Amino acid sequence: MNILVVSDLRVYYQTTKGVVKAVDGVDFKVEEGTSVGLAGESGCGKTTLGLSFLKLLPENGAIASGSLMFEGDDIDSLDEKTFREEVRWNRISMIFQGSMNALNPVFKVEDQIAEAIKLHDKKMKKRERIATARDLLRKVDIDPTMGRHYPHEFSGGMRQRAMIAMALACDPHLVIADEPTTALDVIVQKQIMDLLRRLKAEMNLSLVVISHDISVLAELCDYLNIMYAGRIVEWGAIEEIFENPRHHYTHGLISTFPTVEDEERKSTFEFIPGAPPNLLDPPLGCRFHPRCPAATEICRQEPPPEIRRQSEKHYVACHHQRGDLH
Amino acid sequence: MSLKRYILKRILYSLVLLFFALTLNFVIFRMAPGNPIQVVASGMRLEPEMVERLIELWGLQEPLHIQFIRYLKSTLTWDFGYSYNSLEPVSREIGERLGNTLLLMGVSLFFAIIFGTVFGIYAAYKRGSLFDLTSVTISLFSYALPTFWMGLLLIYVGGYVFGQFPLAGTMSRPPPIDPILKVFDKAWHLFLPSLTLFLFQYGFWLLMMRSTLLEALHEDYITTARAKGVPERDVLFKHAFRNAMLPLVTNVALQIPGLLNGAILTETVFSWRGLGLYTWSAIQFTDYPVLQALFYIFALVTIVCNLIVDIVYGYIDPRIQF
Ligand SMILES: Nc1ncnc2c1ncn2[C@@H]1O[C@H](COP(=O)(O)OP(=O)(O)OP(=O)(O)O)[C@@H](O)[C@H]1O
Ligand SMILES: [Mg+2]
Repeated sequence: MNILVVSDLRVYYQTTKGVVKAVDGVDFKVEEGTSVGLAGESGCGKTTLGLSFLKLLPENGAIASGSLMFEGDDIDSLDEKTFREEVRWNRISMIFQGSMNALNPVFKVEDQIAEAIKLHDKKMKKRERIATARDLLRKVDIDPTMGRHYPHEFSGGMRQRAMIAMALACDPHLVIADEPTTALDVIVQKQIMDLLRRLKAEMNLSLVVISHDISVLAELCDYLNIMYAGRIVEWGAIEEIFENPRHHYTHGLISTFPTVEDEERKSTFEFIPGAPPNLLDPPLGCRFHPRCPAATEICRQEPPPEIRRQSEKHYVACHHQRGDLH
Repeated sequence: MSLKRYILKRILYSLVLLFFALTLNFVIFRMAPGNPIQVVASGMRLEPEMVERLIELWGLQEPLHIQFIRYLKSTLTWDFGYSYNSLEPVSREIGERLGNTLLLMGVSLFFAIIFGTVFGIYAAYKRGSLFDLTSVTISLFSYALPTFWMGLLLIYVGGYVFGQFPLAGTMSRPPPIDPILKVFDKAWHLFLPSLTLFLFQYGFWLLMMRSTLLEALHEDYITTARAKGVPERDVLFKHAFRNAMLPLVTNVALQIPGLLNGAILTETVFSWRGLGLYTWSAIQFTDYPVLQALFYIFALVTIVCNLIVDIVYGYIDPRIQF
């Protein structure tokens, strides 16, 4: 069963320079109990998409069209109060990009976790809330007595763990992790990934992991979405995507980030030439065509290709898909 | 390091600072032109024996370092010598006026902080609204207008056009006997000067509060709070305000010297019998002992305010490195 189904979503930002179409016709789904990756270069709209699940868009951003169904509820039509009290953190929580600043510097870590519990479980007493907060810290391998300390006394990795503990405070059904390992050193990255994997199994979570680092997603996810300039260009089961990338952009991304197991790929290190387009004024036709090795007239002229079924667990949006590698 | 040691360190630092201020205050007046005898003697003819006696009375015949040590001792014991102008003890004259100045500054600062921050918070909350726009405009005006001009305007409007308020002074003459009426009489005199000084500060607090809050509202931890389901009111008053408190506290200390400056102008315009007016007349008369005492008190106030802020900061900002 799908816990989250997003169809034809458009999220636009109003700026003085014009409308930024950060998410422009996205289909996205999360099957219950699975972990879904969202990959793409910086600025392609990953965070925007993630924030729209929680209706947390910045003031100048709004959902222009499309639908977001979460556990059968239409997220966009739920009123603010109901959404805040029943959905936020209670059913969907988020681990933020750059957790360095995601914790409030003037409150103790355990109090920040306890606050989340208080908001969604009004009956629990203060003592129990703190005790629960400490249990959560223990669960993410932090000494529970550290809860009495302030975020600045935590290392980067510990803050990220504390953020994860906080995200789990209300037993959410879906957790969105936005760049959970970015800005951490390699060893800590590995620890955080192991932790996420363990917690997901233990708590039967559904997970959306956002990252520009496709090797992180390769280790954590069952499915992968490849995003380019506000659109999903390829979706599929993780091994499908890695073994048989159909979109030229996906192929480029995979070559840019060789996975650890995949030593030979390093020899065919391939960078994607050019830079991602400005979302104020994206190119006509397929957005990737200016950088695509296989682009032809149709890619320039026709509207962006629809995402089409390739197989049961593989969809792609390209006029000239790459041939089967096998 | 513990909070206790941090506080101790701040106190020690303040004492060192105070010593430097005292030294500077001594040196400046030794280097200032004109000698006290000339100042006092100007306008009256003094007998040479009289001059001798004054020199001895004021200890001007002693070597400089002895004078300095005596100066330190007497300053620290709140003994500032005699006014060249009135020949009264300076400490007594200051004592009579200090209360009035503290009253004027305290009342205006208190209301400026209360109104400034409350409206500042509300303006930040309703950013972009008509309320926001008008309060920012008014604040910029009141912040930018010169104090003496504002004072004169208020005297004209409050004292002349409406005729409800006294034009000058600290108390009616003769003052009412009944203690309750006395309080009312003082408040009645206090109203216009404190309103002037209030307007001088109010805009600053509003703009400061509004901008620090808006800045705090863009921090990542605010998005976290919203994601957790914290209602918008608590996002503002709890999560953003607690962080905006820090610059607020610092600014109280930083504003005090500027406030003294404003008080001097206001007291002069309103003939409010406080330290500001006293400073003004002491400058007119080149009354060195008085000026020296006043400079010392101003330095002391500034140092103490900074010390208090440092200590308060130690309590409210967990990030302070002790
Ligand atoms: N508040 C905003 N106002 C205007 N434009 C915005 C705003 N937030 C993001 N954008 C723009 O929307 C686009 C998508 O931004 P988003 O943060 O979703 O990208 P991202 O894929 O998460 O990038 P990164 O990997 O750098 O985090 C970018 O072009 C960005 O400049
Ligand atoms: Mg992002």
